[in-house]
Amino acid sequence: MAPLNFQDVILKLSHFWAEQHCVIQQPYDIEVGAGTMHPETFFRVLGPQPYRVAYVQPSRRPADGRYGINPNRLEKHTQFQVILKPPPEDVQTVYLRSLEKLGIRLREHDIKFEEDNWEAPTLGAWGMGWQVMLDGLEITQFTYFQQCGGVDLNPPSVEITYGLERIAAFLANVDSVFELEWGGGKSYGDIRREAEKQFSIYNFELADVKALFELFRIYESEVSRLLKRPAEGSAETSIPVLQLYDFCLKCSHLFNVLDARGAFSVSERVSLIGRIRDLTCQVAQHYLEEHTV
Amino acid sequence: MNPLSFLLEVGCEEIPARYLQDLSWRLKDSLGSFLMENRIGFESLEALNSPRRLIVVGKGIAERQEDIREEKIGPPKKVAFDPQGGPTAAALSFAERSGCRPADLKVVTTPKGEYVAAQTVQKGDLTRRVLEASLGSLILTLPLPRSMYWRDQTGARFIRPIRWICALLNGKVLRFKVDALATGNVTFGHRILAPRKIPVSGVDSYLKAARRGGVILDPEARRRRIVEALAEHGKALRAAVVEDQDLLDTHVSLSEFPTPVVGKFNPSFLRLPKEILITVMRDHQKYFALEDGKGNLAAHFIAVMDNDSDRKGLIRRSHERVLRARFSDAEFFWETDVKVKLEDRSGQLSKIVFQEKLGTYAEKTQRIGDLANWLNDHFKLGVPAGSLERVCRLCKCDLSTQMVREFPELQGIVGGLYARAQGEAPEVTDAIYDHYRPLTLEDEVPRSALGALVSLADKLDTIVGAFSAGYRPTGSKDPLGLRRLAHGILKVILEKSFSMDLEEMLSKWSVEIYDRKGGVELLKDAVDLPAFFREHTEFVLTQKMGIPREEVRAALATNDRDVCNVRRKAQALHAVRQRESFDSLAASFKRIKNIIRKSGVDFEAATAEVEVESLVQDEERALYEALDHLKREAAPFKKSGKYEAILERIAGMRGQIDSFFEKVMVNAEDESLRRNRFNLLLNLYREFIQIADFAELQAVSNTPS
Repeated sequence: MAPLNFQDVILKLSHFWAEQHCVIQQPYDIEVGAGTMHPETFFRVLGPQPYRVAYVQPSRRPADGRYGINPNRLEKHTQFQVILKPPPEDVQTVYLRSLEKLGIRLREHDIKFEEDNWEAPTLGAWGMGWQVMLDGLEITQFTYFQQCGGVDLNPPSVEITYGLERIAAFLANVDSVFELEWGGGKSYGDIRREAEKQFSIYNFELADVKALFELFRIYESEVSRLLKRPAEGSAETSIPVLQLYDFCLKCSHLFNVLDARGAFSVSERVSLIGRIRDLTCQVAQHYLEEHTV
Repeated sequence: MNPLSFLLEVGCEEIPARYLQDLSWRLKDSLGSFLMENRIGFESLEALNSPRRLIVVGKGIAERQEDIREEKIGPPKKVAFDPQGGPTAAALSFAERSGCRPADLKVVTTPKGEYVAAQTVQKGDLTRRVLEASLGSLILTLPLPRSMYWRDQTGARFIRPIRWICALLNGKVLRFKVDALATGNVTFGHRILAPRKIPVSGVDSYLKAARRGGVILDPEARRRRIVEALAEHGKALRAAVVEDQDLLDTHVSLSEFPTPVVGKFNPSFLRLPKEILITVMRDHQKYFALEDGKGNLAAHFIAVMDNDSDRKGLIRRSHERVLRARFSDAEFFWETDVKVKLEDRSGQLSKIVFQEKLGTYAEKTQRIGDLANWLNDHFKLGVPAGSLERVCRLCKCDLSTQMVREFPELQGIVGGLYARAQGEAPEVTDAIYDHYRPLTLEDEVPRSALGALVSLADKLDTIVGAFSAGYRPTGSKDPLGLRRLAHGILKVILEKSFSMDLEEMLSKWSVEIYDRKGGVELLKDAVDLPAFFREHTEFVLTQKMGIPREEVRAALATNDRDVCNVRRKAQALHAVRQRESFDSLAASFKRIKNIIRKSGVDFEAATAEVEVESLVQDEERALYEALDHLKREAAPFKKSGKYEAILERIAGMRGQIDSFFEKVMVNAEDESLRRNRFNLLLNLYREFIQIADFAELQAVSNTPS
């Protein structure tokens, strides 16, 4: 049997998690660094309502771009994200079954759950869990969320994040992600290489640091302005937190581009992360207040 | 009573490897203390574990708690019995309160007279009941390095989610709950080799189930399995596994059924430096490296899989592919990095922050240079100035390389390797390579004096800066690893026998240079640095060099600021103490110290001329002459650091000192006699305290004298 191609992997995982009663969502339409940043994770893990969702999320890491030359590093890679709230007791077993659905016969492989405590500092989010290693390859981040938006999660959620390029390359037994068959007779390289090159050129060479900082400040001040609106108690004055969150994501992405450009020192870096986190945490607070009333 | 067998298996999602063995021991220990506190006898407890389980197996557990027998004293005999010998109301009520029949009351004699007493017995409960009531909370109150919740915030917290508990006393389930989870008599097999429930009926059945289930429960058995396979594979490849105890420990705690598997890589990667290849294999992939008899790396590696075999070779091939990608990255970094001369990277250092409050690496580089230079001149260390300047300038330049960004643990080493590839002089490349060492007290110090000096300057700069900026370590908090750096500094000084005044080095120049060059707003915490170093000197000399604490304290109390001298003094004292007794000397010395302290005289500043003509008693003259003799003899020994010779002579003065205190009245009526005697003692004190504070020495009864 021919190994699954890139889009087969997406289809199989979507189907598998749909059977586990997940809402199958679509990728978010703003640049994000990870599937966690999708509102379907960030907001849904807050508060008490049970929720299950799965979606593909193209994730941008400007600093990891390599002009489409390095066979394993990408400016934009693809995550498959699953949120299970609350976590089922057999969650690890269910996860392993999803690997079997991809054609991985566990009996013939080496699977390890190795400690890895994940955090997303700009989201005020962290959890405890593992990176899942398949024959020495990290294929999944598996986390019990403990906090998001600076808020303790009750109940916690499990987040399962598959690295799709790695898994597909593993299945196809290829050394370069660009050699992967995407589907429809096209290779991953056909579809993505040019974008890798162009974004690397911009991020590393052309990005205007001053302009990007300016954009950062504009988005940041728009969030601050709306957070400061006097709460007069009427429904009309309630804060549109989803829109504010979008602006936080913009800040986060701009931060990543500036980081790739080497535009700030370590201490500035820490303070910028802190500024974004302050905003996302306030957004999470407002979201919770409005959704628990 | 029949002794019982006991089994507790706490089934978890994968416990972090670095905590597993500690936790496993802790569970066994707290169960042991629990049984003892609750008067439940047991023959033995054994800790077993795997990444998914913490296990305690007990043998010879008593069926019940021991009874508590007590004798309760009641009213006096004469109150308890009427004249006819019958029990009074007081006796009857005492018997009732004590739960015994009036006929069983006894009369006992106490120091206060004769009293009535009752034997009470508090029956021990069934062990089963005691365990069922407490095991749940015993598990959940284990001290954990970090904990998490998985069901809800008010629910249980543990290192990772607990998924099953198998708890048996003599084969029967101990019924209790942990959070919402009830105990049972089932265990689970290996995730891959036997992914199923297995019912168990007792300890033996459990051990058998684990074997059948593909789980090796004994960490030592897992270790042996790995070690033996490593040796076997090594032999087959005619190579030796590069020893790595930490990596081995990790694998022992990472697999339920560890099986080493050999893979190979393209020998063309061997042109990369060995240090880089080994780091990639070890830190990123947890592979063991292999080398031939000459220390050349082999083009093989050994991974450890959690499976019993790799029949189709799929596992090996995947590991090989992952490593190929990692090595290709490293190769790319090497090739691009090496094109830029280290020297040309120095401009980058102004963009790399050393520490938020302490400026950039460009500033640190400047400070290291100034400090190293000053140390070299001031303490006449004799390191060639040209090479020193070169090393200081280049040593941090590797921080801007891609290799160090990817493998931060290789800082310094990478710099040395690039320097070599770019044709720097060997003494320069070695010193760059070594200058972070020693990383721990066990680690080696830099090979050359040049490397050692730069290591010293670098560490000293960090410590002084960090203290100045308020980062001094407190309790268990030492985020910048300053204690480790202090140990590194002391180790370098001691091993290289750098004779230097530590306090001068710390408080004068380093602080000045920071103030001048770093532009840091100095907090005054830096004044505590000498005390910090003193404390760590004691630690290094006692814990790592094995000199007894009393000797070290006696030597430290001399306030010698040269650490090498402190060590010499402590060692000399230790050596002489094997032969000579300082017991009476210690006692006299304490006495002298007290006399001086009570006088309120500053022993260092006071003028203390002894007038020879005012020494009226033989004993004081004898002591004076002995001291005078000692001073003359000791002077050259002090210069050459031959403290043993001085101590032998001091020990030889025991007689004169003892007779002095026996016969001579220090606190004489006559003012001039008193002053003269006091001055004599002060002189003696001043002379002795340069070698050791004998008051620190406790009497040793078995020392031959």
